[in-house]
Amino acid sequence: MKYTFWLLICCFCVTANAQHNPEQKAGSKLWEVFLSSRVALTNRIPLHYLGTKPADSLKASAQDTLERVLVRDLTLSGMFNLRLPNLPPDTSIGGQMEERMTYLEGEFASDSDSCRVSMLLRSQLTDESFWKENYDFRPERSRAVAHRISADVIRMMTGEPSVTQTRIAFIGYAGGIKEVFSTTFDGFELFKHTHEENTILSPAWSPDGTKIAFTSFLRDQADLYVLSLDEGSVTPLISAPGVDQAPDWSQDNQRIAFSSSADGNSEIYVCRIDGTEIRRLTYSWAIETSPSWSPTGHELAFTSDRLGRPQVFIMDADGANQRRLTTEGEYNDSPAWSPKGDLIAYVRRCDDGFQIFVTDPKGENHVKLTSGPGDNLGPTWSPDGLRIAFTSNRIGTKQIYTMDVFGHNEERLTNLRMSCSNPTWSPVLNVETEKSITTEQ
Amino acid sequence: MKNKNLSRIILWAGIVLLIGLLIAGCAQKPEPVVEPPGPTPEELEQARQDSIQAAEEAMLAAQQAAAKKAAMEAEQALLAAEQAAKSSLQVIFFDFDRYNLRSDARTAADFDAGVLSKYGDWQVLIEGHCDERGTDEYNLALGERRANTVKDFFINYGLDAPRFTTVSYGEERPATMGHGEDAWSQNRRAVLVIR
Repeated sequence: MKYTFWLLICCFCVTANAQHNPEQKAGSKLWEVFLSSRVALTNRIPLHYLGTKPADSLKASAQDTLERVLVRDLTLSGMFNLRLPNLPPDTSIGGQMEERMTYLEGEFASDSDSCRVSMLLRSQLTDESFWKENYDFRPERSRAVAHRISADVIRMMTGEPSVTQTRIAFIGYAGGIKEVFSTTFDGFELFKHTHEENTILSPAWSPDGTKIAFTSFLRDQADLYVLSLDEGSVTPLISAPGVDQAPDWSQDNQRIAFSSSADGNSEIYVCRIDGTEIRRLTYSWAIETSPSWSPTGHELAFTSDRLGRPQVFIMDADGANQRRLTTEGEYNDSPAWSPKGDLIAYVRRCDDGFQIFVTDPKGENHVKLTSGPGDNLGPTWSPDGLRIAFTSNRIGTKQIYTMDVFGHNEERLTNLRMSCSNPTWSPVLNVETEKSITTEQ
Repeated sequence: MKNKNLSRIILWAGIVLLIGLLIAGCAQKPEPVVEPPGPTPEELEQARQDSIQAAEEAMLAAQQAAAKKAAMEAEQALLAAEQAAKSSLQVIFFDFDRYNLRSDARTAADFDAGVLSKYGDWQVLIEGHCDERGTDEYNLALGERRANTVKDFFINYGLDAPRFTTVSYGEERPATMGHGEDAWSQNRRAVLVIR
């Protein structure tokens, strides 16, 4: 049974491997450029996971959960050629047997109500451990601990941030009411953040992890609010006449871009995160909305229908130098700038419904990541820029899914009775922040 | 002796007198009948005036009641007419991703403007709505454009701008659930709400 599990995981690794092969996207310069800045994806690190020992009969369930979640995290990261215990050497994976191997292993111990696992990384070359960490936890927290371990291992091995300590917030719709919910990045620990009994739209998680800005009709028309996650309090941000909506935080956590029709027509504005120093950036007769900051804060992508149909544009952060990003298709919308700045995801209306595309910031290469039947909307990036969460109605009701940046390895995040939409991916949350935002007020 | 008789006579006389007085006291002496004095001419005139006033008041009350009833009926009729006028307001429909008035929408808006011009005291909320396709944010902006298009049409028609406010609900409040052009075409709309 256990052997079957590892075999399945291994097959998954192999498939993931093949799908990540840039050759499959022949003709796309996009991936060439993209991968050139991501050594961890092209030269995957050989890592042999040896498991945790000894098998703990009293806390077997906690140990099993920890191992499964850890292996899944490391696999989904896409950064390792992962070998698993109990399997014969497999030379088919990138000739990794020729390479230097790193071993990951752990010692498991428990007493009546707590567990301790000591994890270490050991180099095949020197046979010495170069990283060791003890994790003490209650058995029911084994999932969270596995995420912490995988985050630490990924940081040690690649220097990259890890998504394993992130959450994804979204709008849950039930009984005519839309509220903000979130789960862990892998769909566990559902938490309800708002209790406004109203319609809440377009949530945006702040880069420091402590707030979510959103649009709501709390005062009869669309205004902007900020939810403080640790206090659970909701404060108005922008309450101008007309529609105020579509907030997006700058990566330095200083400013929020949004759209407002306060001056009679939906335009892009920027304000400080306390709602002061409002500055108008666009002046056009058309609809301008859905701004998305570049990670440097020097540019903004946004939607405009100034040419008759919605298209994605880019401008400098002062509103200058407005230029068109999308030229194909008659409906392009919802830009989302990746955390590393090298890609912009957006939504295009296609023959098979609304689908998610990515392009470079010059708009030279466009790649379709999803396909119908069904609409795929609202892309949001993981903090490491390797996965995209989005809304899809492919099963009839709206649910949240994630996929890697190549459009593969889709995972369904939510499987709820209520319909789920408008995902926003949190930054990497430290243990204290995550605890404070998921504690009932 | 003589003296004794005298005193006896006096005694008897006293008794007789006493009895006589008693009898006289007991016997009801009839009151003399005093004829009441007849009404004076002034009093007669007053009574006449009073009766005229009472009659006039009664007539007035009846007239007032009738007038009140008539007024109420008239008011009810007006209210009913106003209600009917409200109900007669037409929903204005739009094409996908469009906020211009197509010909049937123009006809509906023109009809609505005619109704609104008759009821100058109506304050009008114009709601803009979209179908479920596309993004929430663009649809919220699009719904606002639809509401504004209708508002501009009314102002150009000659109606007072301050009477109108707009709100966009984007795709949040569909008139019809469902996922097909039949439902979508019913949901891409501007609706007038009178307050």
